[in-house]
Amino acid sequence: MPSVQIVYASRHGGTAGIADRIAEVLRTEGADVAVADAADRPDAGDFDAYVIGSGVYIGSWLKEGTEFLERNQATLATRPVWLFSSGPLPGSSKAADAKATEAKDPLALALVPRRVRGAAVTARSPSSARRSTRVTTTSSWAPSTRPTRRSRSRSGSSA
Amino acid sequence: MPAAKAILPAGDFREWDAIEAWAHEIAAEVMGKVAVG
Repeated sequence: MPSVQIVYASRHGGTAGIADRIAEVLRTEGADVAVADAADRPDAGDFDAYVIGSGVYIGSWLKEGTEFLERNQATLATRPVWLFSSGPLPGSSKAADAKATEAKDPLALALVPRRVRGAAVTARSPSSARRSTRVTTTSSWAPSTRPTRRSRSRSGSSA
Repeated sequence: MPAAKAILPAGDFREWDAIEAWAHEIAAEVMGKVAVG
């Protein structure tokens, strides 16, 4: 039975719910699944595959999500990894649209400036090809207010 | 984000059908990999 670790970064529970639903499906299909909150700083351990997701706020993954990727870069580089983001879709809010235009891709914003990109998203060899399939969903929130100064700074430093 | 919550529409906007379909794709690959390997 293959083992899968699902790690989520969620601020209000929306992304956690997605992680739980993915876990249900995988268990139904016969996988041995462990679900972990990135805020608890879980270790990647020795699973056969990983599914990692984060809520997106002002165009960026939550810090706990990117930190999990960074901490476990060596392990994730050798296993299949699927990533997902949960956040507003284009058209769901004017503020989100403006940021989306500026940021292009929340996942890229979250990962590109960091060394994690080479480990978790980009395949380094054909024998260990990793998946970067992304499901972007709306959830029960949307950043429709103007970004705070701190958010602007974070977004700006990531671009 | 209390201010944002106050002006946002309530509801669950997650696309469960797409999420489940994606999860099934993952399961197929994970299970398939084990069967082959």
